[in-house]
Amino acid sequence: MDRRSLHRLERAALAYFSRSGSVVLLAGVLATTAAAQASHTDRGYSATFATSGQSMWGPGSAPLSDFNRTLRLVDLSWAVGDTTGDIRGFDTYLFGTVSFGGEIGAYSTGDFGLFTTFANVGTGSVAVNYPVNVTVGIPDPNTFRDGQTITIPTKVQLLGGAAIATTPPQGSINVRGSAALTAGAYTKVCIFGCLEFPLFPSINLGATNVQLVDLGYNADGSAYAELFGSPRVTLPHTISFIESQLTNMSGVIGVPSVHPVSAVQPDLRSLVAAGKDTFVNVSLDMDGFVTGKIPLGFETPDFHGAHLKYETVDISTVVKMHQDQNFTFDPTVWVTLSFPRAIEYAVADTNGAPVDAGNAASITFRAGNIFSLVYPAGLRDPMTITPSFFIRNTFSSDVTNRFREDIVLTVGQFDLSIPSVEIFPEFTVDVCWGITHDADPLGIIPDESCPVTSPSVRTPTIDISVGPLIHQSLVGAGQEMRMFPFAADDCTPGSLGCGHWELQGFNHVAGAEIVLDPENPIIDVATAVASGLASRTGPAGTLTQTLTVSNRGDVPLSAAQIADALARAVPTGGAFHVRSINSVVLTENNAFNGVSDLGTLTRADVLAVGGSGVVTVGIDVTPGNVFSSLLDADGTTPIGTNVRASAAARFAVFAFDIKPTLNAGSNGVLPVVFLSTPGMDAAGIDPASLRLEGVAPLRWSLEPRGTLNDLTLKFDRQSVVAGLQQRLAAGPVAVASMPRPDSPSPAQFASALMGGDALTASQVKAADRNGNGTLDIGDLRALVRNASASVAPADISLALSGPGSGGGGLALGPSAPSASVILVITGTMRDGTPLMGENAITIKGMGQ
Amino acid sequence: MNRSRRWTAMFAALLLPVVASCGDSGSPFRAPVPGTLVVSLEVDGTPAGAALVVVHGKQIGVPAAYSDAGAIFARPMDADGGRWQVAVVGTEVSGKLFSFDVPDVNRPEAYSAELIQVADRADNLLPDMAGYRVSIQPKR
Repeated sequence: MDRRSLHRLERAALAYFSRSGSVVLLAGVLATTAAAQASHTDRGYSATFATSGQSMWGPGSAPLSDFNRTLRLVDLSWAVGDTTGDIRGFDTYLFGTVSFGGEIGAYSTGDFGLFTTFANVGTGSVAVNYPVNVTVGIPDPNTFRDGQTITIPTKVQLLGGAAIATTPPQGSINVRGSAALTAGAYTKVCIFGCLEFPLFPSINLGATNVQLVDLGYNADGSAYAELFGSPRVTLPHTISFIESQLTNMSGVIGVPSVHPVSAVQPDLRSLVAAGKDTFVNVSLDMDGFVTGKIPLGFETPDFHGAHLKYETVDISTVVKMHQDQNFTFDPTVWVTLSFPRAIEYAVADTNGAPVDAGNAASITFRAGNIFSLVYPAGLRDPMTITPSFFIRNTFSSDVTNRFREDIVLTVGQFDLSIPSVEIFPEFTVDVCWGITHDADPLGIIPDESCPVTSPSVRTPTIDISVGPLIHQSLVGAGQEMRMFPFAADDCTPGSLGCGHWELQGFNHVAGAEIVLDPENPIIDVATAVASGLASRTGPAGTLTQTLTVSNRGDVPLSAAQIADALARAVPTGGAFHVRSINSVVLTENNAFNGVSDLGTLTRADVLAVGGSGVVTVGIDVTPGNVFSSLLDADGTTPIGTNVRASAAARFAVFAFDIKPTLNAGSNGVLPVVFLSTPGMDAAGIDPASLRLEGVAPLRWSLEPRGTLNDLTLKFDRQSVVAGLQQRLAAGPVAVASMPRPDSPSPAQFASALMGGDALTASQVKAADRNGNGTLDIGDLRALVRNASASVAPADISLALSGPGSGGGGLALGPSAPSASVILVITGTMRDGTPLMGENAITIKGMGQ
Repeated sequence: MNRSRRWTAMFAALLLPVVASCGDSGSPFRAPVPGTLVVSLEVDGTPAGAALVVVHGKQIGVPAAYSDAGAIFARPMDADGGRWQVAVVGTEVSGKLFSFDVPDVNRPEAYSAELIQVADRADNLLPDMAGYRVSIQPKR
């Protein structure tokens, strides 16, 4: 099936499901686009369906019940007679008139018949071998989504080796004959006188139901024949000379043994098997039935030309018996798909016409049709289908016995021949000579001769022939005996029609499981906002927002984006401004500002399955506001499903004040105060959560100021100094420290760029950060920029004076006499919102 | 011609060919001064974000970043230090890029620099490097 047809079928399936109200549209996080065509991978299932030992006459072992049929093969009758002769009178003058000649008269009536009876026919045996390859188009994993209608096309191919094999049925065949004959003949022979006498005594005989041939099977299954009641001979049998003399038969006798030859029909699906067996081919002298009982023929030897010959009846028959067997096997391969749960389905034929539809956990349909199902909405886990295959069929049987006879019938052939007989020989009289010579001894009269000759007298030659009274030649006379199906009552109840039924005994074939695996796209986004200074990821007056997007589904997500809408709660309060955006794994949008351009990414990234990326946003803030971030992350699956996730964060920045100096060497407490501003009441702060340079407050109190409250706290000075020392010593944190898995280091990339060791293909792909398809100095810059810390060491502390400034890791060195340092306090509001406050302080006596 | 003038003429005849044969390799009477040469990027318009440069000469020392110009990556192209490839990456790349030591700083003309690639500050490779030139001067 081509793709266009498949689309047409899918539309038909969708139309059906829509009409039935079964289409479930996904809502919520999964926004569906137009249903994409799931690609398929064909999987072949080889299945050989076979059966054996089936009856030729009906389902299972159905017998050919009460089959006993007789057919008249030959039926000849006649009644003829005739007289003919030639008797002539002859005047002898001396003896008067005498008769010479002959006459023959003859008559014959007769009736000859030949019958055959088939009885006790067994079931025979039918076996079918039908190997096929069923191709099932299995939707490829992750090429469809839950709730989508997917198709599973199927097709069937018949493999070599398909055949119908049969074993001939056993039965008995009986051939009998009948004969009735009356005949008489006389002859009259006249030689001077006539003599009439019969040629043979009148015949009036009848012989009925004469057993000619009896064919059957011995107990051991071998076939036998009895010829004229003689001992059994094993079949097939060629009649010997002696048997021929005894039976007037010759030829070959056997029982039907048809071995049909199978062939595949032009539809490349159904089978036929056809065969023919000539099991009797004999010549039969039928008048031999009465041989020995009557003189059927006589012929005298030639005696001085006299000859008598007659033939009363002569019937020669050649009988041939055939059996034709024709079988057809019209199968249909079926597929059963068993699902772990009921599903909505539809089945269409190859033309797209609906065949079946419903809701079931086990669906059976014809192989070759197209199965469609709605993958259950909300089910994004794979579903395992168990396929199995079986066969249905229509089998037909057609068995016919055919007979052909060639008959030559001759009745009453008589021939009589009587030669001519000389009665008076020829003589000559010479009267002149007698007078002139014999009577004139003296020779007085001159001799004169005048001879007169009288011819001889002979009887006439008599040739009389009578007949043949009948001479008939019938060539090619034929009859049929339809064994099966013969009549309506041969149709087994429940079968598919006369001579048609379903062949039983075929096996079912189980196939390997099919896994339908829809896409399961999951995008996840999380964010955290921290004080840049406290987290050592940014300078004072900044927040560092970390956006983490991850692909927790089973398909890659392209065009990934994290929209980050930044806002502030108090319109007149502190402001914010995006100062930096950075990502190692992802392609950050340098134009992002959180207000008019919310996209933190360029949508150039593809989140691999299991992959994640971090975007770090540096935000300049001024105190006196609660800043909020609303994230909306999305990505698109290979089949176009857009999946989204959201997250939110808030961060409060309070005005914060520290008393002017902090003597590094002094003890005591350090007082600080959170100052309320319009919309930002310090009473909302959870004092116990606060930490100044990591140090918890010793005590605190709320001090009303107008309608607002200031929160004052006391910290242990030495602890704060120690905490500050620790923070400064730790140095900055590279905010984008998560390397891209395949991304080379800048040094590695630079070496490759300048002719050193080449990068791997995956490294090249990962390193082409500007996406121009080549590795260049721009890519190196992007790598360097993303791999390096985005916070300069100097950002950690403002106005740090004295030796050591500008170094790598910063510390308040022993030689530093004093420093102006910004302290940072962090904690949470009572509603859980994180907060910070910053204020500069001069630390004295650092080197003491 | 007296004796002293003859000796003067003979000395001049012997010395002049020697002086003439040393014309393009410096004065044979001035000793080489080891020092440092600086490669600069001259920009007509917007500063670059990165540049890839090849320097040619003899006995070129390992290139070093010049102040805070940015990170550099260098790779020798032959065994005797006759050619180096140097990549400079920074926030803004212009002016003095990197330096390298040479045996005689008084002969900067024996060294040359070639600009191979330039990227802008959005990491894009510039197809046209017009407006960007590299030069070499002794470090002062």
